[in-house]
Amino acid sequence: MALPDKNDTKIVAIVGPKGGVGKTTISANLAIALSKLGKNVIAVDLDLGASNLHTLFGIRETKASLDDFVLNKITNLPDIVMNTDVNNLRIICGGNIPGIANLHYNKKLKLIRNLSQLKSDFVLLDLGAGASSNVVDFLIIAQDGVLVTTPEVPSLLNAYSFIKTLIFRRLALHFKQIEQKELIELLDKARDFESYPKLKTMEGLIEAVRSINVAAANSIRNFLTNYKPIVVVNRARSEKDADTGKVLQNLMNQYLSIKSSIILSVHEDTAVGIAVTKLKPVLLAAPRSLFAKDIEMIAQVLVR
Amino acid sequence: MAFPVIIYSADKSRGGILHKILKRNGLSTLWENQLSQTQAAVLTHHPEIFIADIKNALKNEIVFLANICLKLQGAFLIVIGGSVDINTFEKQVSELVLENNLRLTDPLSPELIVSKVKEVLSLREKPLQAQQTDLEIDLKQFLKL
Amino acid sequence: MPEGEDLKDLQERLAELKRQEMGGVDVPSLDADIKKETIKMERAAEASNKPVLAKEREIGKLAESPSGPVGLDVGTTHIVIAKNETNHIQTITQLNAFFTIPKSKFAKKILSNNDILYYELDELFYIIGYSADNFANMFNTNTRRSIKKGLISTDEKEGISVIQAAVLSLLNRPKRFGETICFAIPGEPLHGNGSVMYHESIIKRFLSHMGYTPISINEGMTVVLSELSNEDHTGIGISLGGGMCNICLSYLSFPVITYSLQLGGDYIDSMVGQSVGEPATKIKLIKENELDLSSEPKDRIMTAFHIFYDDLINKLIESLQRVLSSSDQMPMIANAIPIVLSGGTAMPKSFTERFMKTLKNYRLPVEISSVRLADDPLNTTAKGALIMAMTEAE
Repeated sequence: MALPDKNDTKIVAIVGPKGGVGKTTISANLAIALSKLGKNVIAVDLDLGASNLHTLFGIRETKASLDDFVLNKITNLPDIVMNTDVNNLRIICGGNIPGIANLHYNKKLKLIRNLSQLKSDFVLLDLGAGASSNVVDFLIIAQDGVLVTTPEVPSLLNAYSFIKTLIFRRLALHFKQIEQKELIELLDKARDFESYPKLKTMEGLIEAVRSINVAAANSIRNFLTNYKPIVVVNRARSEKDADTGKVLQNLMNQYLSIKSSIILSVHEDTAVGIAVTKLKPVLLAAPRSLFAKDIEMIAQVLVR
Repeated sequence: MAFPVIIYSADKSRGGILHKILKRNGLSTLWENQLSQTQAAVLTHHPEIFIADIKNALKNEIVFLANICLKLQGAFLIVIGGSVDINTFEKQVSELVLENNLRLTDPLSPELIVSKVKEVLSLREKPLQAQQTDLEIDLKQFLKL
Repeated sequence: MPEGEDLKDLQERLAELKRQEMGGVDVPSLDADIKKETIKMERAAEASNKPVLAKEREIGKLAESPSGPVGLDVGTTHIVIAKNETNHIQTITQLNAFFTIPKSKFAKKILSNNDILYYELDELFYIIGYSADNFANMFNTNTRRSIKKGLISTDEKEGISVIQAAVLSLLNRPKRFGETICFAIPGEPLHGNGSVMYHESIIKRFLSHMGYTPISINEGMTVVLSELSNEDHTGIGISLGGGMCNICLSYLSFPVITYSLQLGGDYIDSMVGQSVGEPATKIKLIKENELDLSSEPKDRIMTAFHIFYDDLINKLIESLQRVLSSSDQMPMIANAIPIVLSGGTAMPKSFTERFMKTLKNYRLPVEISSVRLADDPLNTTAKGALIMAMTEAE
């Protein structure tokens, strides 16, 4: 179901189902942590319409950005890749044209195609907040998805809903591909699970799919077995906060049949606020901070 | 009694701090400061997590520790020490061991190690057996699950 | 078999059984380990919460044989012992100074009639402790010191025997052979000379000969043990004595970073004395009785005190910044930690406030939550050493 790899590049998407969870800060610092591990990294600001990744690297002026690519001013995506002060780390700045967030389907496909052809060990996509099709579609091309949440209930709710949306979107794409109308209808019913309680869990849905198309059911099972979302609970002030990720993991396991999610946490750290005001990434401003160590742990998980 | 966490540290202060802080956090931890005893403890307890403090270790000690790591049987390995020590260690152990490990260069971060130990132990727990928390009940209600 | 022996035998057999259960591998029992540590910690916490009753050694009073662990502070100016009593901690102080006079029958008679503490060596009478101070005043001169800048003085040939005699004036052989005594030792001096190991070994030797089991503890750490039980023994203890400042950063009761600066009250007295042309002894008296660092200095002596106290505080905090920043032993500490100041040099009025004010000009690699003065700054070290002795005594 996933797009085949065009080259050895590993695409990692960083998503924050809710705004303000610290997604961009994590993206910028994760990019540095990966580059510190000796990997070539391109960080791409895909928070279309509200991009600010470059500011975290202290870049005040962007010579070229995704706007230029999307508006066809520049043809080749690699031409807008900029160097940063960090070894092995380059960046593609995001666009700020209002309305660009609602990217036309063809343009989005073109961008996705070009992103997956970038030559680097890692391409890190800093995606926008929420679960719009723009965000989810970019996530689908990624080999790894890092979902950033905070320990608060609204953020955790959004995180769960986001993963569910992502899975349903993937299933919808697959069912469209195999052109089985019944399965698409079944998926709509599963979205309204209050009226169809048997479809409340992924297991129920898989059984229902199996009665229509055994191969499709196996394919879903196969996809879920291999699906390993990385959930990062940011701003954890205590062990209890860090454990909220485990609750999310339980729900994903019980209702979405995701058995291999990876839960990590990032400590609340005053070093982050200080670094942001200095327009410097935390890994450079405070490399010994707890935040930095947590990010390095995420980087090690991704490298593995 | 089996210890899920075993620490090797020849440094009284570093080993002592880690031992104390892990125990404070309710984690049954055994601390050894001699290599032969460490090896015996690893073979006896089959720990979930083995913490190897290799700060300022001699090359022979690192070789000995690398051999202990080969006997870990899937335990998660946390290696702590200076960057030079860790580089020497990496040269000694196979990729197989390195797949399941975390390397933390100095400064020693006891609180971070506690949180990572807890994280690893919780990842290894079967999620279905985990207790339903108030938070889980809240989330289920909101999600109408 | 007596009851105690019976119990010991049973415990040994149980331990053996446990060892066999573990497959022959000798692994300590966690339960026993926790129990032992808990008891020790409880003892320490209990002792650190007891009030200190301090007294000077009375002339003519014989030294006692302690019936429990002892804490010992061999400082540049004073020697203090601490003992654990039922409801309080008792400290007894002796002046760490001596004075010699030529041997004569007449002098011997005077000394004996007045209960003066002395001993004979070669052709001299060595008068020690507070008695030496009285004698020096009579002769209008200064006493001599066996400790210089925190370590056994190389200037005084008989320094060691003087310390030994001063300790003996406070402490007799223990009632139980092998009783634990813990004495404070300085951290390695940052810039100065002198061997801490030599100092430590010498004291250890004569305490062993007295029938004690001697253990040592870093002087800065005694401040932590004495004052920071409510903070999990995590923080910075600074003991500002006559000869040096001892600094210890402790994390969960482990002394992670320790060092000393060979600057203290004597340095201030001597620098102020030199600056205003007055003898250091007079300056010391003014310091102890009149100095107030909160108010503007009214005369040139007070101005000099302010200048050299500021100098000491700046050198101390600067060293702290440099040592903590450069040490590879420094752990990551997420929470802010306290600083506790102790020792006679920290006692002038508003010293703590001045320290805090200066601290704001520096950036330490660890956040500081508070700075405070120890409850009883002159007895903190002996008390901390006692707590250590109690936790280590079997």
